[in-house]
Amino acid sequence: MNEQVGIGFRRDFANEFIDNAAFKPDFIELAPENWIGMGGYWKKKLDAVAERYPITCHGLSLSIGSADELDFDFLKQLKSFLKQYNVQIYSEHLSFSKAANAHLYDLLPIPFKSDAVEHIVQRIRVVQDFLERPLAIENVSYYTSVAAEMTELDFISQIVSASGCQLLLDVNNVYVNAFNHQYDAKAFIAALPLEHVGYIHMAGHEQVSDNLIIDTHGEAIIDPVYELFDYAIQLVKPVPVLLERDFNIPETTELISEMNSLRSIAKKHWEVKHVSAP
Amino acid sequence: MYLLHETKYLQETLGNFCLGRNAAEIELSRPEVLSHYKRLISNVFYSTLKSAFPISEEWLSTDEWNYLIAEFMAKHASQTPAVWKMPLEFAEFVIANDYAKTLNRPALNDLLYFEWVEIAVHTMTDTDEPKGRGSGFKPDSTLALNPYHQIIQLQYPVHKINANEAEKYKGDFYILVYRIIETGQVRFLELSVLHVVLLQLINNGSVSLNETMPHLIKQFNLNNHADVKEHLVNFCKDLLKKKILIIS
Repeated sequence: MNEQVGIGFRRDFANEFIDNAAFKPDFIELAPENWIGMGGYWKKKLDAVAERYPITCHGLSLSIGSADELDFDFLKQLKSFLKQYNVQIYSEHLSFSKAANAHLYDLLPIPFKSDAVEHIVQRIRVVQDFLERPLAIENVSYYTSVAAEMTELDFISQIVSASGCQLLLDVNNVYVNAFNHQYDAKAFIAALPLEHVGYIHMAGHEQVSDNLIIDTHGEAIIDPVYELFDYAIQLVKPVPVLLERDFNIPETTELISEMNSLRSIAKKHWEVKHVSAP
Repeated sequence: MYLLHETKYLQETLGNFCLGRNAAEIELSRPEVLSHYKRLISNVFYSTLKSAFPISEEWLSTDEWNYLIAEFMAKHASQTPAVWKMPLEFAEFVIANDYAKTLNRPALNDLLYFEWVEIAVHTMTDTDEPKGRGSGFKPDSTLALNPYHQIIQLQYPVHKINANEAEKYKGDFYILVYRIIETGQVRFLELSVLHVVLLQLINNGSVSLNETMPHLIKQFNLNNHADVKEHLVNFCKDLLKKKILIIS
């Protein structure tokens, strides 16, 4: 799947994946929580796309940063689902989405603290052992840090290096965070443990004020994020690249165009590197 | 757990704030953006619940609907990791805490329940489906029930009339909510108690109409056997046509 460009599988445009011959992502990504245990009409759609495309999974509810216990009933179902659909990559967010025993259904920022690093490293190991596969952890967008004792960069780097997990490099999230927290996006990427990058996400966002961008996945990718992608992929080995589009779904031709732009940039760097490699 | 109590406290405080609960102040680099987290999480709850309960949302006033969601977010700890199953917890929360009485909306429980069952049947996990062995129905044909169904009992006929109107007709209403195997579409059918027991007998183990008759006659103390049997033969034929019953 390396160098391939995929897109998130969403019900809003599920039939395009099955009926539109011009719409040809190399793979699809889905949130397992939205499909585990699902039967009937949507199960048939899922099975139909699973016959056509390789699948990656991007979880929403693992809540790797929570104080709450890991949900092993969920992990058991997840493991079975990943096996059933021959899922190539399973990724999750470096955030928490459950607190005080309540699911929040969105991603909240973990305090950048050393005890959180230890806690998460241990939980990643448990999850990887249980699932018998590596976990790719995504750098998330965040709008405020919480009682931070270290930088975001140190927080991510320490967790990835100590746990041995893969890094899902979300380039748009780096752009969003660099804008919101006033740092240099390229320097941030260059300093990440890039040898761990196993997957890349690209998306659009929404600027809601002069000094705040929200990571919505509801707009087209903007040029500065393409430029950051162009920069980032020169620093990493070829990996799958995903276009995320969750809301405000445009005409399919626009999505095809975005995927082609990503392919074109990836080929420019990754194919040259392969040819020149000894 | 390596997480310090202090870090746990920070996370819980942030989570509680986003759910609309009382929350203490915590150290944030950009406290002015906290409202965005609350808005984003509220959006998930509001959009998921509106999508699951479109009729209830339309029926209740905006204030009533918002009040129920705010109560749910503040007082309930959602347990399912699957956001699409969260509406079941909402319905159970509203019913358990008798908000129908608080809001003086007697049909609220039934409407939420009915709307959720439609989702539950639509998404019911696939299972082994009984093999059909023919279309010619006879009273001694062995019958099986389409596995994708629920039989529910309502106090108000919210399945067929507006909830305001339905509140005038309190009674016992039995509804079969079922999924058409081929298309995945969900339909419903109002049943009598006799029908309910017949379908339960069939569902408990594939049996023929003839085999169910002694149970039905005894349970309902029936005298006019021939008329009842004729009625049930027509009922079974109708359900076979609708693919609710299968000759197995």
